Amino acid sequence: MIFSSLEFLFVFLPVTILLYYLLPRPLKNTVLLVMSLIFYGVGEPIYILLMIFTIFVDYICGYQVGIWKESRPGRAKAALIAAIVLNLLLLGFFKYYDFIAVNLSALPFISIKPLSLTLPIGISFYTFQIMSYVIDVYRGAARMQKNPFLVATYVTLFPQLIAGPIVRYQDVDDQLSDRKESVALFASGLRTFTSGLAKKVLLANTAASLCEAAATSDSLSVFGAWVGIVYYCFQIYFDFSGYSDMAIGLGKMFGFRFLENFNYPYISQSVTEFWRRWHISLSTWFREYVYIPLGGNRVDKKWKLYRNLFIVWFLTGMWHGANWNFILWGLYYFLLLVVEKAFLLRFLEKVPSFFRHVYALVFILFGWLIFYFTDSSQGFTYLQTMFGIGSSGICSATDLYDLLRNVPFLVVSVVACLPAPKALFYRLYEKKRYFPYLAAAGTAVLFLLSVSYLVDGAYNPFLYTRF
Amino acid sequence: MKKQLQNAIPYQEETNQRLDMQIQKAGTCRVSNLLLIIVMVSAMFLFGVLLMALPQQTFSEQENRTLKTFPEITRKTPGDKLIDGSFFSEFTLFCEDQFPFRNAFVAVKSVFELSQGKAENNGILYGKDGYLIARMQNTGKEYLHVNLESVSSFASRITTDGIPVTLAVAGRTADIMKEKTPLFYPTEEADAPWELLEDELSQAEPSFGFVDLRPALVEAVGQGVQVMYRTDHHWTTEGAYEAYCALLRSWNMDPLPKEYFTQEIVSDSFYGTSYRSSGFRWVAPDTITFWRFPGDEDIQMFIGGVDGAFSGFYDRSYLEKTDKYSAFLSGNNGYTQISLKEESPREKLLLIKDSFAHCLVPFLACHFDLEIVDLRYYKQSVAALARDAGCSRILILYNMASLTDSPVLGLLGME
Repeated sequence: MIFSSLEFLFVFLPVTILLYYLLPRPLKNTVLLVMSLIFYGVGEPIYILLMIFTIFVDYICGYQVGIWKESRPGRAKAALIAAIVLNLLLLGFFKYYDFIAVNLSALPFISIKPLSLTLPIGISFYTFQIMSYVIDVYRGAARMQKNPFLVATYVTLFPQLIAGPIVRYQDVDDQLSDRKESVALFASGLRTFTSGLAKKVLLANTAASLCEAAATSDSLSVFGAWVGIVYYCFQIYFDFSGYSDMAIGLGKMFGFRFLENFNYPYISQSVTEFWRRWHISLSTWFREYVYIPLGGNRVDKKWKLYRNLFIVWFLTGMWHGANWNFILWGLYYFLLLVVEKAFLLRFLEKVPSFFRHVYALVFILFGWLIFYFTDSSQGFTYLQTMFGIGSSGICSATDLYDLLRNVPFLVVSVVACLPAPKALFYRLYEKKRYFPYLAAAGTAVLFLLSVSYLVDGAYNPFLYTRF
Repeated sequence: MKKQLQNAIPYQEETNQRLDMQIQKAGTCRVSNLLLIIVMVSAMFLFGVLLMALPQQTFSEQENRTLKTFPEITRKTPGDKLIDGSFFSEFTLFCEDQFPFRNAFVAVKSVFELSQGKAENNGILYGKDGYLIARMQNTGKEYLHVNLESVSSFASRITTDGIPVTLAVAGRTADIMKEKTPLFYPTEEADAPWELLEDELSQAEPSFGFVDLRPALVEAVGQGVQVMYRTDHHWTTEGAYEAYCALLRSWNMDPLPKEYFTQEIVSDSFYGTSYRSSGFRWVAPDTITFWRFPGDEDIQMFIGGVDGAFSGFYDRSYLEKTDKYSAFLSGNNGYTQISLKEESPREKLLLIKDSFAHCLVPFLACHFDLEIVDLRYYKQSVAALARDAGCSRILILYNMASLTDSPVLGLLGME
C-alpha cells in the first residue's frame, strides 16, 4: 500500500485511527503492529513472511547479544555477526542476485541465469532498521527489548516501513513503551502529513510527467533537455521528502516523534553540505554503522580515510539500486567529497555564497542525471543532447511556451525548496491568534486538492474511438 | 521526548523546539486543532463509508468504460486471491472507480490546473469559445515514416493492376482551428509532421496521389462554418462535406452541391473524446448533424461479423449513449460494405480508414459502392480484397494523429 492512494487515505487510515484511539493503552501497540502487517501484507502477501522471519531471527540475536554482552562477549559478538550476515545475505539475495548473476555471466566460463525475483518492497529500509537494533544493543546504545512484539512493532511500523526515514532503534526505544498522544501533536501530524501528500501529489507527480515528456521526446532541444533534468531534481526531492513528511506526520498522529530526513538540500553551498541535508537518516546510518566502525576520519593513515569514504559511498550508491548507474552515482559523490575535503572547501570559502550555491546545484543536477537513467547509454545520449549533440535545435517555440505555462508551478516548486516559508509559518503560528485557523483551513484545502489529483490520476477515459 | 539524538544536527534541535512550541501553545490553539482534526478525520471516514455503502456504479458515461466493482474474496481457479495479491490490486481499482463524487474531483483538478495559467489539462488545450484541442506531445516522425513507406510500397504494387491510390490526410483540431488555441500557444507545433510528410513525398515520385485536407476546411472556417467539433477530436459533418468536395475535385469529379442534402440535427448534447479526457466539465456540448439525401435509405450497410444488414449509414442506438459519434457506421468495425439495395453498376471504392471517414462515407456513397476496411481489426490482405471486389479506386483516409501515433498502416502491404 502507498500513502498517496485512495485506499490508504479513506479506508486504512481512518480504520487505524479509530482502532488506535478506541482501544486502551495496552492494546495500542498491538493495533499498530496488526495494521502495519496488514499494510505490508496486502501488497506483498508472500514477502511478509520474509519480513517476519527476519524480525524473528534478529529478535533472537538481539536477545542473545543482550544477555551475553557482559558475561560472554564472545557469544554476544557471534550473535551480532550472525544477525548482520543473515540480514545482508537476504538483502543481497533478493535485491542483488540478478545484478550479480548478469555481471558475473559477462565473464568467460560463467553463466548464471537471473531469477527475475520481484523486489520485496521496503527490504532496503527494514533490513537496515532491524540491523540497527542488534548493533545498537551490542554497542550499548540501546537496551535489549525482551518483548518480541515491540521489536516487531518497531520494524513494521507502517509510517516508515516502505520508504523510511530509517529510524534507529535508540531513537524510538522509549517511545514504543512510553509516548503521549495529544490533540496538538495529532493536529501537527495532520499538517505535516498533508504537506507531504501535497508535495508528492501536486508537485512531484507534475514534475515527473514533465520530466518524462522530455526524456521520451523524439525532438528534444538543448533547452528542453536542461529543463527536463531540472524537473527531475524537483521530482525526486518532492517525492522523497514528501514521503518522509507523510511518515513523520503519521508518526505524530500516533504519538511518535521521528527525526527529520531532509533539511532543504537544495540551498546547500557544497556537496558536503548537501549530504548533511539529503536523506539524513541514510547517511547517519552509514556514518554510525560503517564509517565510524572503520575508523571514520580518526585514522592514522590518510589512505585509510579515503578507503573509508570509498566504501561508504560505494555502498550508498549500491543501496539505491541494483544497477551500475547507482554505483556510479555513489562514486561520483565520493570523488566530489574527496576533492572538497582536500582543498575545494577552503577555496569555496573565499568565493561569494552565490557562486557556492551555483556550484553545488550544478553538480547536484548532474548527479541526478546519472541517477535517473538506469540505462547509462540513454543517459549519455541525454547528456549529449544537453550540450547540443544530437539535439533538435537550441530552443523551440514549444519549449518557451511550455516553460511559460509552467512558471507558477516552477515558482511554487522553488519556494517549497526554501526554509523561509516554514520559518514564516512558525513565526505566524506563534504570534498571531488567527493564524492557526488559517493554517487549519489551508491544510484542509491542500488535502482536498491532493485527493482531486489522486482521483484524476486514476481516471481513465477509454478512448476506444480515438481513431 | 526524554532522549534526544546524541549527535543531533542543529536542524533537528530547531524542529524539536518548534514542535514543543506547538504543544505548549496547545491550550490557546485547542479550538483550531480540534477543528482541523474533526474536519479531516471525519472526511476520511465519510468518504470511506460512502465508498463502501453507496450503490456501486457499473458504467461510467464520462469515461465510456465499465467500472470495477467490489472484488470477490475467493475464486475457484488456482491460487487464492488473497495470497497472490490480486485481491488487493482489485480492491485498489475498486476504490478508484467507486470513489464518491469522482467527476466533481476531476473537475476540481482541471480548475486548479487552469487557475495556474496552464490553459491545458491532461494534454487537452483549453481553447477559445469552448474549443478543447488535443495537444500532440511528440512529432511522431518515426511512425509517420513507417506508415508512409507502407503506403508507398502498397501503392506501387497495386497501381500495376491499374487501380489508382489516393492518400488523403485530414487535419487535427490543432491544425484547423489555430485561431482558437490559447494565448501564446505556438501553433507551429502542429505543423511538424506535415512538414515531414511533404519532405518524404518530395524525395521520390510518389506512386499515389496525395490530398491535403486542411486548406478546404480552413477556408470553410473563414466562411463561418463549424468544421471541427469543440469537444471531440473528429471533424463535423460540415467539415466532412468540405473534405469530400476537395477529394472529388482532386479526382476531377464534381461534388454534389450543399443544397442536395437536408441537414438533420440528431443530437445537441454530444460530449466527445476531448471533453472526457480534459476534465473541463462546464463546456457546452456539440451538435451532431446527419446530412440526408433522397435515396439514402436505399443504401444498405453490411458489417463483417454482424448478421443482417443496416438500412442507411446510421446506427441510432448510439445516440442514446455517450459515444454518439459511433452512430456513423455503427462505430469501428474491421470490414464494412456499402452498396445499393437494388444492384446497380457503380464504381467501387476501397476505403482504408480511421474513424474520421465515418461521417464522410455517406457523401462518397452518392458516387461509389464502398468496401471499407479498418486495419486495426482487418487482418487479411487488402490487395486481395481490392482485386476480388473489383475496386476501381483506392482511398486511404486518415487524420494526422493516427499516422503519427502508431504504425497503423504497417500491415497494408500484406498479401
